[in-house]
Amino acid sequence: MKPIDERGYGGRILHLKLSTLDYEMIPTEKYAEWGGGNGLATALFWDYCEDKTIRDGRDEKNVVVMATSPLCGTAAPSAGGRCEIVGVGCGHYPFGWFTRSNIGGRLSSMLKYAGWDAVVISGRAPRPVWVEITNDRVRYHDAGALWGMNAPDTQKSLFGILDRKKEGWGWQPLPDEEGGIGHTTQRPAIVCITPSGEHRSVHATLVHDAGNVCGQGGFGAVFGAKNLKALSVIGTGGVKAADPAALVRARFRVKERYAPDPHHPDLYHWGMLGNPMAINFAGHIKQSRRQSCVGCLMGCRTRYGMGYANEIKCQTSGWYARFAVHYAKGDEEAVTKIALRVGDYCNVMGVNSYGFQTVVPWLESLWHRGLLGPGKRIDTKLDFSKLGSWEFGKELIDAFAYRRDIGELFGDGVVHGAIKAGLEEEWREGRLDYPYWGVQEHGYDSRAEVEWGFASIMTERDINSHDFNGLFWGATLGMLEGVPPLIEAEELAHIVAKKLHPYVDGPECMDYSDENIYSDAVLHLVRWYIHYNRFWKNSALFCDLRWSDLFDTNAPDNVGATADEEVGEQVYWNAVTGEGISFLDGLKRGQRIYMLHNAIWALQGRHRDMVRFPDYIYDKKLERTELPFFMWIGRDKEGKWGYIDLRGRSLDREKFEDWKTRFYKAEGLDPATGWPTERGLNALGLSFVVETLKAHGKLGKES
Amino acid sequence: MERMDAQKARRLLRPLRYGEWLEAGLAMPPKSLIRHSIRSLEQLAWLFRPVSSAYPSVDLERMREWVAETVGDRELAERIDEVLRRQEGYKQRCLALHNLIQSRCEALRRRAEEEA
Repeated sequence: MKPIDERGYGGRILHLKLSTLDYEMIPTEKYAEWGGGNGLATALFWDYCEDKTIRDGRDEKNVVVMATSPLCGTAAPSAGGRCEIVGVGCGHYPFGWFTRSNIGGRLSSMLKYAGWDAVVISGRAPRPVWVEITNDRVRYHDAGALWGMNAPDTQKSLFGILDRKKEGWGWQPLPDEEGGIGHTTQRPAIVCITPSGEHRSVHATLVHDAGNVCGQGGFGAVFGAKNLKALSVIGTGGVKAADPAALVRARFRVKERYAPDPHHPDLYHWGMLGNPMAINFAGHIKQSRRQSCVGCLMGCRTRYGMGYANEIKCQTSGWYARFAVHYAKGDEEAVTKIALRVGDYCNVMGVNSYGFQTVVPWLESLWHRGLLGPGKRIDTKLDFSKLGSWEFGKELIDAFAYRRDIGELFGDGVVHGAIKAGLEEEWREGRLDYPYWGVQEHGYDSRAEVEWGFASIMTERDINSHDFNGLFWGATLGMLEGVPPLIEAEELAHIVAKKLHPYVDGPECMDYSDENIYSDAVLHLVRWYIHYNRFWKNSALFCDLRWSDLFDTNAPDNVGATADEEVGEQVYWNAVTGEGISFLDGLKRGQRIYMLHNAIWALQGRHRDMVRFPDYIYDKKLERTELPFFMWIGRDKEGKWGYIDLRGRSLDREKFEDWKTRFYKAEGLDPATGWPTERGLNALGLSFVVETLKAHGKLGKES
Repeated sequence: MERMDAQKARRLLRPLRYGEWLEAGLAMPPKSLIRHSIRSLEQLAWLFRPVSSAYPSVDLERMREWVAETVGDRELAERIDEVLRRQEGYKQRCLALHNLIQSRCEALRRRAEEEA
């Protein structure tokens, strides 16, 4: 096999020892069996976090790992631009799990060009610092002057500091104490925190460039607790692929077969790779253009001529619109500008916007019900009569960023704050829709789109992975438009079942009728979903907005690109790494990574009795959704396939507990506790974990 | 429109209280939805306005009930019912509903202002 730095890797891992302001280099070779991203990072966490029982990521003993994959910085389609971040998080309920998040943009490719596959961050710096990484040169700098700055000001300040010639950013000499001749025109890729991280709010994000943000897990607060203000990375190298010609061939082939036509986008397309999405809610801003992370087939972000809200998309760009429309009395342009400005401000101040789409309507309802306001149960000076204005949006985000007013109440978690305010019933009864581990509901209710909810509760957060979700959008929006389903139900079920083989034997896995959601078929679909995520998406770093591509109406037979022998995920992986693994080999690696996660959660105190949804998921039927139906596919009592509306049901506690028992057994976990068993660990090459679990009394019993 | 006084017209146009709102959304293909809470008849007209990039997302029958029982405009609710009974696609019905509700709001506004 070729040397490691000729098969996609940089070859080294940087370990920042913040407590002593020192660093060391770890050879990647030792960890290459984990692939990259989440797997690599979790293995590093296991080795470098001495106390894996901690339950709050702001603990000094926490270790955070930022990890690339061999594909980062290459032309692998929609797989070259992500960076995985793992460690113990904060803000979950009942406590901070070992968790993961992810960030796009230029960061991971720049790390790779500098020769680094990952950055391990341990300890706590004695004072605020930022770290400069230029190829193999690593320097700590005092961040006292930066502390308190928002994201754009921090990054601009660092651009200024690193502009050594002070002539504006043109050709920059590389810092070299021996007076070398190296120069670059590249601006550094900077990831930083803002006052929200400095104040250790669990809503704090990491921000890179304008709109690349690491949201879930509270890693902004983790950085803040470590006194780490920013990392700046410049790399002048490249990434060597084992077979670059194969990579380029596959890239062109997948583009020919699946990529959307940007000039004639098909808005009713089904699938992921071929979807023309530019997910922004700013339909009324004319001066704009697409923007993407490194290596994407077709970007999902936007840059605007108005000079703000660049790169924000999706939920961030639209969550405030529902309030702005009342404030602006339906003035389209005003609504759009307010919504974009407030969304942008979330990134300026490094506050995770996702929770706001659930929390703010709930807070508004409390205000109307007399439970929130000056001197009320939730005491706040925020004037909710101004909700919908830019000024209110700014005040709200500032409150969360600086942990003042209601930002302090919710600063350790939304569910924590509700309980502290004596409003726990709001959560248990579903008025505060936080169904998995104290994390907000994503938009695809667990009572309907079960794989999303089941996988979220069997991991540690909103899984936020749209692999099957294209079916919901395609069918539901098509129905609104009066367009018949582009793929017949039975055909779709068979297409997916074939992609999931050998996890599932037949199409039943896609039948979400009430009678089938607790079946073994759906169970194994959820296992595939988790394993695929843990390796192909979170470790190899294929982007969730394009992969997996299970079905795709851009293909003549509607079959998506995932696992395809010419353009599937393994093709790019093997072209870069030369490993020659199969798609299924990748899923096996994902299973291994998931088992290691379960070991860490067991050490943190997880038990199967904690693995449950709040009461409303079982006690209340899903009656009302924003869309008039929630379409999926299923079979009727005669076994005939069709499109069905999944509203009108709740989950069954006993059936879900039975499902959990079978799930644990299938994964090699003890069904009595949910903990890994010795047999399960050994079967996945994790024998090194056994003694640690045994020592803590957390080794599962064999059944 | 049935004969009604300005007071009734103003009442039908009133902003509704929390708890009376209609939950709806704006769907934007290929894959997005903005949630909205509709708080008045005029906002309902706004929800149904035709735009190229989005269309209303609401349970139409529930919307009709809301107009009848919560807003209290039974005459409009009956006209909505006529539209819903037509054998048309969702999008065609939304266009018809926009015209209907918008016209109603304009008529109510004129009546409300007559004796203001």
